[in-house]
Amino acid sequence: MTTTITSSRPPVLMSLPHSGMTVREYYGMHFQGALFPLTAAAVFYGWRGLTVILLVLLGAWAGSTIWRRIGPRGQQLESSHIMWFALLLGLMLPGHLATSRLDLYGDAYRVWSWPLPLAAGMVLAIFLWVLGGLGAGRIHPVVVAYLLVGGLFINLLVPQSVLTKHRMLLGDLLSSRPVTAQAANKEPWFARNTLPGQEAEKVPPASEALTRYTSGSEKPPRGWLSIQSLLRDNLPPLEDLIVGGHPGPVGAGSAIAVIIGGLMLLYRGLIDFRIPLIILLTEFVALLVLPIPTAVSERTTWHWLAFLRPDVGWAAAVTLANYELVASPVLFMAFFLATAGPVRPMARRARIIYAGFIGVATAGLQLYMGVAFAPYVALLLASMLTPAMDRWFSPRPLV
Amino acid sequence: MTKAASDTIAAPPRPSRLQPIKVPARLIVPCHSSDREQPAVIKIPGTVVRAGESLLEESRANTAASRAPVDGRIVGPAVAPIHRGLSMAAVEFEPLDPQAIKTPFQLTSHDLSHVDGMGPAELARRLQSLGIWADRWASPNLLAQLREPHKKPIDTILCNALDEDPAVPLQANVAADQPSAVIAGVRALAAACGAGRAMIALAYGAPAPAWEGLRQELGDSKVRLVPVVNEYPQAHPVLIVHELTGRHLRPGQLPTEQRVLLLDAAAAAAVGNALAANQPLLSAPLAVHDYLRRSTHFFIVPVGTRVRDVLEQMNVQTENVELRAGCPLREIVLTPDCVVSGAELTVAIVPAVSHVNPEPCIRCAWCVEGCPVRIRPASLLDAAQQEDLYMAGQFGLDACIECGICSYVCPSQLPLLGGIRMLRTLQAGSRSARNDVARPS
Repeated sequence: MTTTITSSRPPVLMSLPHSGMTVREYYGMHFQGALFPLTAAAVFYGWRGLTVILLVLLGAWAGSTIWRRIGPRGQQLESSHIMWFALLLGLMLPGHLATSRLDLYGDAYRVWSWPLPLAAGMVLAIFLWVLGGLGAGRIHPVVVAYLLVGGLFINLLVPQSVLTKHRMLLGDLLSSRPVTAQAANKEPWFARNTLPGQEAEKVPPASEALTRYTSGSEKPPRGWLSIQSLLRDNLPPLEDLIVGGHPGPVGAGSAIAVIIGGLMLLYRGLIDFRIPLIILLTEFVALLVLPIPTAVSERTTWHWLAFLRPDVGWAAAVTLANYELVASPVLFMAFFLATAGPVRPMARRARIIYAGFIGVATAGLQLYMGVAFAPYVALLLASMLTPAMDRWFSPRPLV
Repeated sequence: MTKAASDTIAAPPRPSRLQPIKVPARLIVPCHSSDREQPAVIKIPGTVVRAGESLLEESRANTAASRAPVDGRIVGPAVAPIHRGLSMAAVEFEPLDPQAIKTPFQLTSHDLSHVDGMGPAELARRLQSLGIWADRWASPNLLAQLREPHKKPIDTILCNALDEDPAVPLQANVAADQPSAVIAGVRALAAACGAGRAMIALAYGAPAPAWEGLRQELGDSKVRLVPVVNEYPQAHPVLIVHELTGRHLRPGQLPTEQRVLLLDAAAAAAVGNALAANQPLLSAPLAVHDYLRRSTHFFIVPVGTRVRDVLEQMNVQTENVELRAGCPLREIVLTPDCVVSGAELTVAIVPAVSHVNPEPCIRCAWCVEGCPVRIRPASLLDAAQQEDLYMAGQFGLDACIECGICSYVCPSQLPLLGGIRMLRTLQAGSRSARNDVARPS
């Protein structure tokens, strides 16, 4: 259900006095919330992180310049709206893409990856046009663009590096040296010693280790890996994921920055607090309830309510759930994507169901499909239910 | 004026907060009638009448007896515009001696024993004979509330001294100026209707003289002074009745359907003066809020004064501005020829209307979050575009109080209130068509 008053309609009497808020200012206010993840991107991923974002913005601007001229839908493309979505897409990509010599599989195979963010921006502009532009469509164009790019170039989107504490903000993300998992998992990023002149560290991302374990595809070196061993030996300190200092998408690498940015959006009245709150709560509960392997071996078995088992216990189950929450981009999705007007339902009661569905779906997809993509797929599924929920949940007036 | 009445009147002991204006050369005094098929018969043109005398030859059952606001001569029948889209039969009247009208008198005693057990219908006749009526946003049709057959007895008298626009405290100033008349009015209505509960709702932020005046006059009276947080549109009957009694009044219904008789401070003061001092309604308070110069003026004007005359005395040009009744968010447009009467008492001067191309709805839901009655204005605009009354009903059309907050906050500048009004027009049309079909030929 969409209000489709287009600019080709005759002028309508304006309400006076009006608050003065325009669509441009409305999206402009969103940028204030994104300042915090942007700052974290600059701190942990340096100029390459910011360049990725700039390339996406440039691609989206170029794409929208073309598509704006095509048909009546083109007139519905609004620049502030496009730039906001392009910024979100830029924040979802890893910083190492801003290069012309990305070593994917060693020196033998180098790729020009910088056109990818540029193309992602252009793809976003196309999707915005296809889905109807400003306010239209019930599918988030940013999510669709990201999943398309991710589906085609999945290896390029796996985060690889983070700047060292001595070269944060200024370092080159690709001037990195591999750090062993044992070293990376022993000490937090801010306490870790680095070699003189080392600008960045290449660390295996936690999301990969979690996905391998919970999906049962892990091949443990000793043939057996328990949850406790996973948490102790295969994952970085939790503070690296909460504060920052771990490879990740440039905007979602620091959970704290994402939360502060989301709180800014809440403070400005741009988002509904229920949506991120319920997504995170339901996902946390679902992560505790859904079956997980208590140990990965030749015969891995999954158990519901694993925290009730004596070989797992509350502490390990809750810690694993915490890792799942901060290693995935669920916080970014919950605050910045799931709250977007076109995809979330209008009715308050419907929003609760919508957010609950996203939380449960994210948990399931994270555990059995992939930590890095699950929140976006869950949002895509939930947004398809939004029109139905808008129909089912009529408002309950005061009188 | 009777002797008993003159005993209760004394010189104004306190300076008025309402400034009297010069009586204009022409007044258009409306005849408030609920019966359009029986127009009132006015006195012969040229007849000289004294202030307070009736302008009508005979009194009709459903017509408030229009009274001469000052000494003057009847010119003839006229039509009084109340606001754009509403007008009333009226009497054109020429004052004999244009001069400033007197400030409202102050009641000194509240001898209301004669109204005990009078009953609402008899009270309505009494008020009607004195030309008293009130029918505005925050004070629904007073005579209809008293006249309509009551399925349930009135148990609460609620004086709504909240101002529609908290920035323009007209009702609070009336309460500050005439606290004894306001309280007398509330007590008289409670006594006449046999209501066990009487309240005066006053905003926390109302001027101190309003609080002090009402507190002093209340004494040990059973009338309660209730403080209320007044954020627009709290003064609307639906919201104030819900806030203070917990009862669910549907928009458009009279509050008496929920056993509440609701009137504002200006109406209560008029009722108090009428019942305690037999004083007809000759003048009305008026607030003019100039959004261009950011100034507010409070006047006391003769009934039948055109807005144009008030603005001329303020040296305000009516070109390139738009006049709105009440809070400008409601988009009730006034013309300079509209007259001051028992209808809206606040005039807002806003910049002339500009035309904009609204953006498409971005589903920000600010209209939903801001709506005081929790409906879905954006979906109602969809319904208006599709002319779908079923869909409009689903999204809360019947609960809308037309406060205009949705249009005010909308970043896309969509005409949400306009859409709702269009739906209401459609709804009225479809109801009348259904009635025509049902009526036997």
